[in-house]
Amino acid sequence: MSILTKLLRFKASTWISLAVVVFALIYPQVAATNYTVYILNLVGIYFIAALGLNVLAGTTKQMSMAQAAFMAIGAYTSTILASKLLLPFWLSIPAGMLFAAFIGFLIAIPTLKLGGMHLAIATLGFMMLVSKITDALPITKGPTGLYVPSAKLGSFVLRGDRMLIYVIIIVAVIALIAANNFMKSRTGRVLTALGDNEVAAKAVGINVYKEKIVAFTICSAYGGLSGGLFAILLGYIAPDNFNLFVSIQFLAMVVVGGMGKISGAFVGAVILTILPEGLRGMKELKDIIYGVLMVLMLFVAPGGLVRIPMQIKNWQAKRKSRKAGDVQAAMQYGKVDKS
Amino acid sequence: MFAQLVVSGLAIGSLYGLVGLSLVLVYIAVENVNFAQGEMAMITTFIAFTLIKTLGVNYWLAVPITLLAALIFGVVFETVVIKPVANADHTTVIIVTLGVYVAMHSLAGLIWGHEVYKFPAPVTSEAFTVAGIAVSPVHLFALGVAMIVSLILYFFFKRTDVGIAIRASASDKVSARLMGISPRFVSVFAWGLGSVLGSLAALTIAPISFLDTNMMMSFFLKAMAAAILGGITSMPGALIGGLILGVTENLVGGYISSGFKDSFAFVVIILILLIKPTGLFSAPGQRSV
Repeated sequence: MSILTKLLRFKASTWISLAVVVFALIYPQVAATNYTVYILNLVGIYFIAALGLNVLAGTTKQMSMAQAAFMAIGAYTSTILASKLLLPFWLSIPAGMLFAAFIGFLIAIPTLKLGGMHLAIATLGFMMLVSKITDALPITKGPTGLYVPSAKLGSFVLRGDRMLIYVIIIVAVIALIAANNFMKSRTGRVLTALGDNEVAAKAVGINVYKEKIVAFTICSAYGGLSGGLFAILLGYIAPDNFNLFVSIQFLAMVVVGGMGKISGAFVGAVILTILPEGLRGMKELKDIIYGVLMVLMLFVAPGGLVRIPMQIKNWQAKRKSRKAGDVQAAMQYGKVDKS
Repeated sequence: MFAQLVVSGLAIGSLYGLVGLSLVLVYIAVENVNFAQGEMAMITTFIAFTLIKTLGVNYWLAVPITLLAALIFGVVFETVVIKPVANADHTTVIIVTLGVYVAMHSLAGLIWGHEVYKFPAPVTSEAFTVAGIAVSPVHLFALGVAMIVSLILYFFFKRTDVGIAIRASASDKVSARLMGISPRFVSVFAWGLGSVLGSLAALTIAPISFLDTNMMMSFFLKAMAAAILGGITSMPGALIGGLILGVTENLVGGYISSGFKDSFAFVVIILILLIKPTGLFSAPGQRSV
């Protein structure tokens, strides 16, 4: 077999992923402005947060409006550990992630007994609570903001976004592989079965409640992880960085990209990070377009952007069968012969 | 001080309850929470403000016009935004209303800017004292509005055919359809009426809390707390929940810490959902399979 044929065996998605990774590795070095590299960093961070939400919303079809809250928990924990205990970033960020996961676990236990709507409202309540707490706690310095120590590897300081991006890429890739493995694992498949039909899942003996808690904990862990990275990117965090709108943004990314598919989280993160930044000039219009886009996406492509090829295929198949049905009906009434 | 806190708590609480009522109304009819309710109400209030201040329309004329606008707004909202996704799962509808929430919030900012305006009230805002308690006429007005609205709604849903039809549809959509009750009508009516209620509440709130694009945000969340507290399927529950929330919130603010006062509503949400998710006043819910 020639090399060309061997190469052509790879799916389009593999090529796309490869292209993305190569782009992400090279671009920071050749980019003209720091701003674009900053955006790239932001995309990576938001992707991680959206990935977590994807695991939750995509598999169990439950919503968490508190992703920004877990981001805040991760960010503040990591920053406080780094500045007070002088922990290096590769310890403080995982610590922040674990703490966020822990809080997520605690929250999940009581709230996951509720139905979809009630869970959304409970997470909304938690989101606002965290917002107020970060404002009020003395240790987080409230609205005046908290300075984030820069990331250091030993004595080597990761100066600037062009270096941070590599950390983010590595973390994002690991997070992606972990999420993918999780969704394909027994637990992951159980959860997807859950999302499809909770009663059937219960009927085959799946502990619905326990599995939901696992999903929620993972979601909040990813939120916390992205928060820790976010803090380093910004260098300075304040409670308003993690408000309700940010949570809604993540939900939008998952839904617009495609719920339940990791590629969906990526596409959503890319589009919904780059688009608002591109529209930065028209301040108010940016949010309006954002909201309208969210709604339109759900009308036009309820499965998300990444499912559009499948949507088109389904639509074409329907058309074909309808046409065939028409011909059949016409034949029945003797209007057309078998051509 | 206790009595003072209770009295002003009742006044604010009745407003929470009024907004909560609109949330419950929509929920009863279509089993979905309208996250954009607050923002829609805020926009209608701005319309009223423009009518009164810019166009010089009399307050008592502007109010019905605004309510009519709210009705149209609600109906259009239902037809354009909700109907296409009416059969989708809760998640989709939530995201849709959230999208509208974001869009409307910014739209209002775009049209009316971010200044804070003083909204005119039909009564003076000077407080008078009764038995050592300062009472503001605006608060009394709010309480009055809430009571009148609840009475009207009570009679509507218990005694009129349309009201009973809506309750029937909420209780069992299929059987209601067999009896000739159109689910489209129920949906349109609920969203329209919910929008009117929300707008009425916002018009009553605006003189108290000033008018700006953020006015409904915290109110909306507290109204949601009130509705959850009373039971999201119970309209009197929303009102009583609102009153309870208003009073306890004030007491917490007065006796424990004023910083904590704002977060209290969210603690309430979480606590109630933990302890009795169906709320204080609704029957134990059945989960449909």
